[in-house]
Amino acid sequence: MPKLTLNALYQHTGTSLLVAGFFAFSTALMAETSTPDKNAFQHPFKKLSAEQKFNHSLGRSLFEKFWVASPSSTTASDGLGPLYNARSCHSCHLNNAKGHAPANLQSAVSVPSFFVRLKRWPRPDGFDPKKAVSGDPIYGTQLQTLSTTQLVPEADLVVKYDYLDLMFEDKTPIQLRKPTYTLNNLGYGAFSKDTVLSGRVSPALMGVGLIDALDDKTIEHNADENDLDQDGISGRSNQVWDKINQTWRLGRFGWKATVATLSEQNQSAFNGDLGLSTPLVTSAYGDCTQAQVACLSLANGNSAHLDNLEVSEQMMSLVNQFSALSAPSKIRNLANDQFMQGKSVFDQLNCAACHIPKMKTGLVTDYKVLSNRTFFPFSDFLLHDMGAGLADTGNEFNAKGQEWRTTPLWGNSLNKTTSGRQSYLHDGRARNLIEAIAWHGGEAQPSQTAFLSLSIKQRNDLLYFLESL
Amino acid sequence: MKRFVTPIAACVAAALLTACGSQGVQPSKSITANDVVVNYSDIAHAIYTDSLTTAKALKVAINTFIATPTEANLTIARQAWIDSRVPYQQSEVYRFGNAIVDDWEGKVNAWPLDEGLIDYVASDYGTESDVNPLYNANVVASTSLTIAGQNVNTTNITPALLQELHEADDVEANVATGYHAIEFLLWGQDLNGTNPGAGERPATDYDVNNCTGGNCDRRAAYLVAATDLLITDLEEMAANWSANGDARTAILAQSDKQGLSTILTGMGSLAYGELGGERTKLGLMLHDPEEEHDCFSDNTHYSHYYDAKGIQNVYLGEYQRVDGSWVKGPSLSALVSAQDTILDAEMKGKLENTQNAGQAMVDAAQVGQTFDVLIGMGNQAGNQLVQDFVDSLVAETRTTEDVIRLLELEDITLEGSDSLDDPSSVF
Repeated sequence: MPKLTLNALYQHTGTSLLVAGFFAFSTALMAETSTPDKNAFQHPFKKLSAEQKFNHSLGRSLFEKFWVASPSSTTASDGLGPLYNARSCHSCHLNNAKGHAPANLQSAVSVPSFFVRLKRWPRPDGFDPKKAVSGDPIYGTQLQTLSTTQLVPEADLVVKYDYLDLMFEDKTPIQLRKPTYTLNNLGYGAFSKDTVLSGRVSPALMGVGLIDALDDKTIEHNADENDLDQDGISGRSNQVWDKINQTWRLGRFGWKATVATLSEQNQSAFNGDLGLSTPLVTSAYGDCTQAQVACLSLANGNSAHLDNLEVSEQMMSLVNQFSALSAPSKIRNLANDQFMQGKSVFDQLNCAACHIPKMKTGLVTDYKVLSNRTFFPFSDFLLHDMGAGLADTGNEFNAKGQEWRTTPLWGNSLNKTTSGRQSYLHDGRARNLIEAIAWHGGEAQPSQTAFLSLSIKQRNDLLYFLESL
Repeated sequence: MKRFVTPIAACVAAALLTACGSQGVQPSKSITANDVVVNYSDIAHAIYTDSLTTAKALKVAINTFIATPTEANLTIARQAWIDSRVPYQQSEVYRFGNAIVDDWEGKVNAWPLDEGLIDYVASDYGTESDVNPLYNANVVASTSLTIAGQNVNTTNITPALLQELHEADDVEANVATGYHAIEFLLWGQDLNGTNPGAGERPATDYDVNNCTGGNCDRRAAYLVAATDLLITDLEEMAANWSANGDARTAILAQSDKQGLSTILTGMGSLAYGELGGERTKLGLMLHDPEEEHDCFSDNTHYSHYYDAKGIQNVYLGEYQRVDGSWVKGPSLSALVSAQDTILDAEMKGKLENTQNAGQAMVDAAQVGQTFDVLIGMGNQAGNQLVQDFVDSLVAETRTTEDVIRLLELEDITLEGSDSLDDPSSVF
């Protein structure tokens, strides 16, 4: 049991009445919770109204819904693809948890939580700066490895890993793997010569409502683009086009912080991954390009009773509520000595310079529960140079190949419980936390070097800490 | 909160002086939280035993039908299935909160299912699914299947094979077993959309001498195996709630507060989430019969009615068995009433409202307006009937939350909510 002040308990119960406070104190002493299960990332925040909980639950049902190709008798569920990566949100974000990368030589078809981003680099003339990337002229901005029956998929993608050997100072070996992608059976001709590939794994989604509720200035506050404080850590924001508010502003979602709001992120995923039209991203053909004529000639699922869309305003709103109101898991083992020892290794390695433990949201009018709330994401949501080893090619808005957004560390304790999928870094190359840390380079190089020199006890303490988050 | 002038408030005041407040739940009128949990377990045992009894009756009807596959015998088998749903649906309130039930439930009542795994389907069903390579595997017509790269011999359709196929390849929609698999085998696909009519599988689908749909012998073997497995599974759960059963032991091992929280979590989660949301509002909102729960048989009205009834049973601490007798005992209602009679009356009223709204759907179904018709686009009166049911469930949930507050169970919550341990002391 950590030290709890009476004052903190008053805040917890939201009342300052002495009697209620006392009661809360006695309750807290007997702190009881149910055992986490596979649904642990899908529980709503406490203190939602019955209506909000109901909407969260409905949103979850839509999140898990399997879409089918058009035309179909089931007009509310059709519109899939025609080119797509998955049939439901849930397929990639199983139980709201993270995805994983294919195993060595495994076809990506059987791993919907992994896809390949396509971008032309250098950007061609006439590039629209309000887009994150310039997609391939035929294949678009991501490779869809599945299609409805009237079309062929874009390609069969196979992931192959090269293995690299590394060692801790005490000679304990670490084997890293780096992916390369082979595309067989290209369905629509050759790629443009300047198209490059970058693998991406679906992130866990619990707590994203809190990220959405951060004020831009809260994130910007930690930026230090020119490292004026000379701590070796810069950190800068990606400046992106916010499609909903039609303005340039700081990006915070995605591996390169290319998206400004949760709603835009969700709608882009519906469109790019499932091929569905939404109120913001209205093409019923998803990522099909003008060059994919056969795709564009197929029936779509836009329906009059669904706002002439496949995902109506109402459906979109419910899915947004499900994602915004799914609470992050709690930090475990806070009272354990090893947790504190691990934390001190975490601090000693300067991890917290980017993986900032604590954040506070701004004023949120639609969901009181997200408003002015302190939470523990372990991220600054800024871009950092992570070195050549992790780099891909080609900017996404401002983010360069070596730059990646700091990944929140929350939820580590329940990866196994929720989806069983353990895969770290943007392309899922790291199979565990040790590999993930060992891949850190660039600004994080000194931390990585220090990590490799840790004793086995220090490493175990650090992992214990990380796996408690 | 004006209702707070009750014994619990007195107890809180007393807690300042004594240790009585630490439990929050006070014995009163000789009913304790433990009594309530014991009675809750007794009811569970009765419900699962009744489910088992009616499943055995279903098996008898199915045997008769397979031996003599006439339309009349098919009708009798279908009625036996409908009868078997009456006790089972009342058990669903036990699923939420009791991990042992939730982990088991998928084998028995999983839904929706990709029926193409089991048997033939209409051609517009599609032929592929990324998440489900067995989308149209058609076990009835195949003597071997490839699952996750492994060849599975399906020559003999046995309960063991169905267990192996169930949620095969980790795809939840691969429902090979349970009530809905049996339902599909008795009714077939309902191809009427939001128009009247259920599945219309002919009895000859089981007539080896005059076989329609192909593989009548294998279809019969599947139906028998699935029913046998249902019986085995129900035996397991009935035993789990018997005197020293695992489920009963698990809930009785919990503290008083945890036990009551388990009961109320089950009531609330079923009401607003599963029943009100996924099984009712979603289909209504989308006007989509694919979202209908008992979609082959068009028995959804009863399914929903008895689901809701199960919630009421648990609150009132009573259950009417299929033989007409009652199981009654110390109830949550009595526990609440001892502290706040007004809240207890309100809760009972809300539960009754839900039953009335459920009854209205049952009445509509009797005159041809089954659930899939009620949710049809443009059926305003029907839509409203379904919406009333949803509204009553949400209203019921709100009062359930008041009960949770009254009993001071708010902090015993599901994972994912706010932590009592404040990380601010560390970070």
